[in-house]
Amino acid sequence: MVARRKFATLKSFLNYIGVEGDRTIFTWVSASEGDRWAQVIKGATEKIKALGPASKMVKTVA
Amino acid sequence: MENIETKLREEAQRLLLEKKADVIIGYEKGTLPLTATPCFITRPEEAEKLIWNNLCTQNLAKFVHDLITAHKNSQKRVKPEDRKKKVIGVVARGCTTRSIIIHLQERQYDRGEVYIIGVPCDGYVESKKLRTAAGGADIIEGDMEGGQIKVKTAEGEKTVALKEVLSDSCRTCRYNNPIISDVMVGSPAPAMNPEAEYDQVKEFEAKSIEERWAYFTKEMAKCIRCNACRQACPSCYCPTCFAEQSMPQWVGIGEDATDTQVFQFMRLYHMVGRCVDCGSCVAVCPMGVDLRNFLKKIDKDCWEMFGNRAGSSMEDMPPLGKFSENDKEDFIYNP
Amino acid sequence: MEKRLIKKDALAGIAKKMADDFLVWAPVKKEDNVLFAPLGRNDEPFFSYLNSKNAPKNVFFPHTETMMKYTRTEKGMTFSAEVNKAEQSVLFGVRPCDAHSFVLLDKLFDQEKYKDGYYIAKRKNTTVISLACATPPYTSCFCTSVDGEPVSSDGADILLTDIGGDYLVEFVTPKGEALAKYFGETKADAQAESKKAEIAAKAKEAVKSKIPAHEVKPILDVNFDNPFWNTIHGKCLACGTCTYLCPTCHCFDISDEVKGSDGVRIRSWDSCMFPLFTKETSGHNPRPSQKERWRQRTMHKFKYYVDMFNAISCVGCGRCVMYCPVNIDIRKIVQDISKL
Repeated sequence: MVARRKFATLKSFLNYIGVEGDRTIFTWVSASEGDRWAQVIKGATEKIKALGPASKMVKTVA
Repeated sequence: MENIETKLREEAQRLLLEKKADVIIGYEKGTLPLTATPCFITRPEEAEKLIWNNLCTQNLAKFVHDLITAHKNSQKRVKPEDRKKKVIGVVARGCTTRSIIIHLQERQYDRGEVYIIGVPCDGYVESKKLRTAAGGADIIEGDMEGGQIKVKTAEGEKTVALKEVLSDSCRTCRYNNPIISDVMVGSPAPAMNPEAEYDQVKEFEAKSIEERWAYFTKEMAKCIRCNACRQACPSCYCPTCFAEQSMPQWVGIGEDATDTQVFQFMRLYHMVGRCVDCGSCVAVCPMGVDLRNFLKKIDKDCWEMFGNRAGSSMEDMPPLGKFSENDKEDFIYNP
Repeated sequence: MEKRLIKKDALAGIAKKMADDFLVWAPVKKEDNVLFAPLGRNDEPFFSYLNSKNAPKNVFFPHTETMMKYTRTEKGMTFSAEVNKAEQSVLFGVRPCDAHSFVLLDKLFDQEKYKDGYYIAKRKNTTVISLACATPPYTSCFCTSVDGEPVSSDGADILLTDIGGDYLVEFVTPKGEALAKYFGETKADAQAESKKAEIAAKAKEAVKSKIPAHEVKPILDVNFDNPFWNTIHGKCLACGTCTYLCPTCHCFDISDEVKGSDGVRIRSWDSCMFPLFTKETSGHNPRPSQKERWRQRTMHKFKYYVDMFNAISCVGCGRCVMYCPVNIDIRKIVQDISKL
C-alpha cells in the first residue's frame, strides 16, 4: 500500500525529467495467481520491447 | 529588523543564562560584504553576535540534527542514568521549523531537545542573483536598507531592489512564519506569493519529453559532485548516503554524466514529502544547478496526490509512510 | 626572450586560430559560470572574465580520468594503459595565481620519488598562456601573501599583460616561443615594457587582502593539539566545494568499474572534507569529525607542503573564500593561527 505511493511518485518524477515513465511497471500479483503472473510478465515484456532499448541514464563502462 | 535583532539577542542571552538551552544556533555577520553565516553561541555574552536579516540563508535545522546526533553518539558509552540531556536552541524561520517538524515526524529527536526561537521571514537574498544583479563584478561593499541593496563594485555603485534578488523559494513561500516555536521574536511577516509556487513546474510539464530530458541532462552536466546540496539539506541526514555505499555500489564516484544524473535523481526522489523548499541546496551549489525545478515537481505531486505539504503540520505523518483508500491507482499495470 | 605587442581585440582571434591546430582550453561563459573548457568551433572565448569558477587544474588532473582498461579473456586478463595519450594543447588565458598552482602541483606529481605519468604527459604537451591581472579581480584575492603576484609569469610559458590598448606578449620559455607565429610581428618597445612594470607594481599594491601565511608554519609545527581546532569546523557542511574549486587540492581516489568481462580503473577527485576520505575498511576513521578534517586541510596547505616541498600550497585565488556555502574563511583561520 505504501509502495503504491512510492511508485506513483516515482513514475511521475521519471516522466518529468524526461525518462519514459512507462518503463516502470507496477502491479500486484499474489503468490497464488500463477496465470496472472505469466500474463503480467508477458505483457510487461511486450511493452518494454515496444519501447526499445533504454538509452537514458544507462551507463556504458569502458 | 533592528528591533527583531535586539529581541533575538536578549532572548538568546536569557536562554543561556537560565540554562534552557546549551547552545544556540543562529547567524552572524560573514567575512565578505553582504553575507551572513551560521554561528553557534554557548556563552551569554556572545549573543551580541547574533543577527537576523535578509542575508541569513542556510536552513539551520541541518545543524540541529547534526548536533543532536553528535551528542547522542557521545553519550552511547555513558550509563543511562548518567547521560546528560542537551537542548539545542535554534533561530528558526518558517522553512527551518518545517524541517524540524520533519525530523520530529521521522523520530530523529524529541521536541524537548530543541528550543525554537521563531523569527518572521520576508525572504533571503540569493547570492548568485545578487552577483548577477551587480553586473557580475566583485562586490566590494554593500549596504541593505528599506528594501534596497546598495552594492559597490569596481565598476561603480548600484542599487538593487531586494525583491529582485530574493531566492525563488522565498518569493513563492507559503510558510514564511514559523509553524512551531517555543518563543517568537517579532510580529509575523506579511505573506509572500504562494499562488505562483508551481508556475515553473507547470510550464516545464508542458514541454515535450525530449525537451525535458535535454534540460535535465544540461543541468546535471554542471554538477561537480561536491555534495554541497546533500550536505546542506536538513532532510539528507542518512549516516551513510546511498552514493557512498560500496557493497553494492549504487553509483560511480566520478564525473561520468550518467553517474551524476543517477546521483541527483536518487537524491531528489528521496525528497518526496521531505523537501520544504528552503532553497539551501540551490544556495550552496557552487555551479548553479537548477535543483528547484525538480524538487518543486516532487512537492507538487505530493500535494496533488496525497494532500501533503512537507513539514507543514505536527499532526501529519510522512506521506510515504502511510496510505489512503483514495490514492491514485491509474498507473497500476493490469494485463 | 622576445616580446611583442598585439592589439587588444585580436586576442580572441588568436585563441581561435590556435584552436584550428591544437586543443585549446580557454575561459568560456556558460550561463552564469566562466569555466575553462576546450574551445569548440562555435565557442567564443571570454577573456574579460574576473576568474573562472573552476580552477584550470582539471586540464592536467581531470575530475575523472581513466588509468587503464582491462578485459578478461580465455587466456587471462589483457590490459591497455591509457597513459601518454595527451594531445598537443594550449591553456589560454589563465590567471597568474592559477598558473602558479601548476608550479606547486609539479612539485608533487613530477618529483624524484614519484612521477605521475598521467599528469606529466598532459603537462608536457600543454603550453600555458597567462593573462595577467592588471587590477586584482576580487577583494578576496590574496596572492601576494602566498608568493604570487597579479602580474607574474610564474608557471606560464607566455605572459599577456593588458597595457592599455595593447597586450604585451612575453615569451617566457622556449615552449612559449614555439607559438610566437600566432602573435603577429609587432615588436615591443621599451615604452611598453616600462608601462607593464608600472601596471605590475600598481596591481601588486592593489591586493589589499593579506594573510600571514609564512608566519604560521612554526606555529602549526607545535599546535597540532591546540583547542583552537575546536573552533573552526562547527558550521562546515563537509561538502567538497573548497577542495574541488581549489587550484592546488589534488587528492584523488582510485576505483574499478566493471561490467561483464570489461573493466576500467579510474581515478577521480576526492576531498579531505568528506567523512569517507579516511574511513578504513575496518570501519575505523582516524579523522572522525570535521575538526580533524579541517586541521588536515589547513596543515596540508601551510605546514606539510612546506615541510615536503618548501612551498605553501595555496595560491590566494580566493575561490574557497567566495564559494564556501557557510563562509569559512581561510584568511581568518590563518590570521587566527598567527595569534596563537
